[in-house]
Amino acid sequence: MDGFHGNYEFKIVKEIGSGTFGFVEKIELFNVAGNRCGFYARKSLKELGPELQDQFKRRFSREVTYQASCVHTNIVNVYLCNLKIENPWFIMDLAEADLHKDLLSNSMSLEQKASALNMIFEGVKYMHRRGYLHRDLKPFNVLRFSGDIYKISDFGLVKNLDKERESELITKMMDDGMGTPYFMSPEAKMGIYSHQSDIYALGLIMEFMGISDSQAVNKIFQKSTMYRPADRYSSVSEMQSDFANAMSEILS
Amino acid sequence: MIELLSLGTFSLPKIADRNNEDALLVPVKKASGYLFAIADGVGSYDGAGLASKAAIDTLNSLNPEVWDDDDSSPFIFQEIKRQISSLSVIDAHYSKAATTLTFCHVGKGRLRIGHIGDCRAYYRDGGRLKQITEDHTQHQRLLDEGLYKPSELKTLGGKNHLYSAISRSIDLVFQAYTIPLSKLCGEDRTIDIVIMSDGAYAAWDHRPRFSLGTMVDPNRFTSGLLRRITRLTPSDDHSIIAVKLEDRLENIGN
Repeated sequence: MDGFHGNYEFKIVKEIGSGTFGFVEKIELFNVAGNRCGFYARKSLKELGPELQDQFKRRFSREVTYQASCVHTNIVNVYLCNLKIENPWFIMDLAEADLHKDLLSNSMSLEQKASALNMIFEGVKYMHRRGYLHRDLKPFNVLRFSGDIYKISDFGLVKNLDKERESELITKMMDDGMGTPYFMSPEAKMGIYSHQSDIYALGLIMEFMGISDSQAVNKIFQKSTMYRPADRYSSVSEMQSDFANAMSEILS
Repeated sequence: MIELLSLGTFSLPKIADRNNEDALLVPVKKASGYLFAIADGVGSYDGAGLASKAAIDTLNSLNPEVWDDDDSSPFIFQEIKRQISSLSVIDAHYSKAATTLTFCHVGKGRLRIGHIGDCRAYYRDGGRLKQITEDHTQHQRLLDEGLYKPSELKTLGGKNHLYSAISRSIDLVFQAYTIPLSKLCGEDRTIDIVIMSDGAYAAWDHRPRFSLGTMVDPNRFTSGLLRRITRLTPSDDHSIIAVKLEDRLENIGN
């Protein structure tokens, strides 16, 4: 065994992904009685050096806490975590693929794309209801699981809106916008995030999926990516409702 | 020749007995005129109070000749940045120490302003104060970019987030203004200039007016504003310098 935590132990199978601050491994999980629980994914924080380690440990801990508190079919579940060590990690479901890869493979029908987008809407709606902003929505962060269930992942940039209000009165230097530039709204690039900045990203995901060709869907794309946040959809539900109407028109 | 006629000022912490991270320079004679300034330490970082004090001390210690040279603003801000950067030599925790700064020099027939951050310089026009400087805040930038309207910003976070300040860790982005005194003088050849830190103008913005009798008197103006800040509960450290000057040379010339 390569590690244990509480009543579980695991074997590392292979590394399946790596980013600037963390890496993901495929693991095989067992309980203490030796019964096999299955394959899972373990995300760990990289060794970043003394200056950055503490800062990113806090961010990693926030990522795990927020993701674990979101229990929803369309959000990747967190099962186990160890946040008290130098390179903290957490264990989550192992995905079959991500939406980015699925789209590049050109294997998705229009119905499958519409279904995937609806699942993303559901996941983001749930996050917004809980007072969270994802801030880095993109096809790469939407994972596919068995039964073609798509789930939102990577809570590394998730923000709790209530916490922002608490610290509002502290004068501080502006943060640069964080996220993936292509999917970032104009105000997000200036460090301002809101439901509307997530909605902007959803509009661009829709465009990236190649389902905004029809006039009805194109209108949704345009409204969700308006320059001024106030001119966009006020909620994901409103956008989803327009999308459902547009799709029923297209598919009828 | 510029004469100082009246002065009203205060600089107080948000909560009594706590450190005040604002620092101010009351009018002092420099070259052909008077120099006054407010610096507001950026509160989220260690050494905020030291940074604002270093800015004011440096400003006051510069060779007086720089104040008649309208092209000297880059030098002035670089000098202050150098002093603030040296704080991190004393203690590594001060590596991000930062301050805003707004200074005014009235002389040579003009008002000269150097500005970085979110303190504000105003002049009195009749019974109103007109803001000269632009806030270097995230909110102001969002307005400039046309992304939000003022009413939409009221519920948006980030009001106190600055995109510019004097700090070792960021590039200097400052503004320099030169305004002829003829544009600012009242009929009686007097000029009223006010500098406020954000804790002071938060209360002023609440209802930006006083009676004309209060507006024309720097002492009554500052007393009235302090009463208002106390009544509304201070949102931050709060400082103000309100000065009334007379452009006597213009007077004699006319």
